Amino acid sequence: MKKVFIAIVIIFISFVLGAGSAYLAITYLGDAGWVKNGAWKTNLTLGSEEAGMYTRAYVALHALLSLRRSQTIYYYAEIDDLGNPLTSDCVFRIEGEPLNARWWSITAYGDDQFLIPNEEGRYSFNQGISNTGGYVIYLSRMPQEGNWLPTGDEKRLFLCLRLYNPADEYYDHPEAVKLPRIIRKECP
Amino acid sequence: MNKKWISIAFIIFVLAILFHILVVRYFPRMLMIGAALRIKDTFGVEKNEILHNEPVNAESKKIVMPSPDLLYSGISFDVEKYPLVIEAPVPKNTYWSVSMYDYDTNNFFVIDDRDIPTDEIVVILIGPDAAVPHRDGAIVVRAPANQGIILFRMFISDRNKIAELEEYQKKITCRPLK
Repeated sequence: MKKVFIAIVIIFISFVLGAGSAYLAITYLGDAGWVKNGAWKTNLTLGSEEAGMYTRAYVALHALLSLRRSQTIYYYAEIDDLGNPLTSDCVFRIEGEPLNARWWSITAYGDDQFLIPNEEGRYSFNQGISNTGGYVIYLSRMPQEGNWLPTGDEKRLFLCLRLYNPADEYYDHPEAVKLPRIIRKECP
Repeated sequence: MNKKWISIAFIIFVLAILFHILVVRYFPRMLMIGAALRIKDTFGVEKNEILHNEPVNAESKKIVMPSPDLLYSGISFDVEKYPLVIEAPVPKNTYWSVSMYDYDTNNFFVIDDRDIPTDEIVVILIGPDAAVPHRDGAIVVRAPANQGIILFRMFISDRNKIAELEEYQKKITCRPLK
């Protein structure tokens, strides 16, 4: 009886250590190997068999059912250009030149990684390839003139930039292509 | 520390590594199976039946980071017994794609409207060991596993066109090839 008890305790401790370290590894090491470009990061192995065990788990947790890079490139941001965390306590201005993709969008997500509730149903900004002008988008709790993505009371915000049928430059130089700038404006 | 405690510590270390690998390896699979089960439990849609989603909003909590710019339809497929025939009209004035995933999150097949010369597509999805059926004009896709998820995406370039896109959605069919 004592041996059975010891075996159960050993298995329990092993499981806690194994599962706990797996969670930490997925959370903190899962984005190792991602390509950084300013505030944005991407991983071109998403959805493909090339993705490693930790990347696969990280993506399952944060971006299940991602398309492979031949179709879509995903960039994620949770900080601004200076490294400040994105939060609804501040106003952020997202701006840039047209992106070279058939169409692209920027979507704001809350801490739970789902869309942020708001009465206007404003969740994203998108542009097709026919749009040749620049853009300015405001990420803020209070209404803004022009393109505004409400942030509610989210302490932590995530942005996802999706580029559908992007130009080759995004595959060739994901770390250097011009991406939207994220600039913190008002912050109490 | 005596020999017994060293042995116990070693066993815990080895088992912990084993559990670590199992959790990391099978975590994506668990989430994918969970997504497939949610299709059934939440919407009452069985395997190999299609689910048409409305445009997502803040109430959409089934899968993380949904895109509000896309109209989704999905199928939780099982081709163990029979291949699956999927027929869909393809709009030519917006982005449209069909993608297929196994439970390991591999996107093993994807095609979009630019690669489809006609205004409709027929895909026959077969299991890893199934014989290849023949049907003129159909694309035959061999899945690496018998079960997984199929996702249709349509770009909502204009909110006023949602009703038009939903008409395309409704015309997507899938049936086992018996």
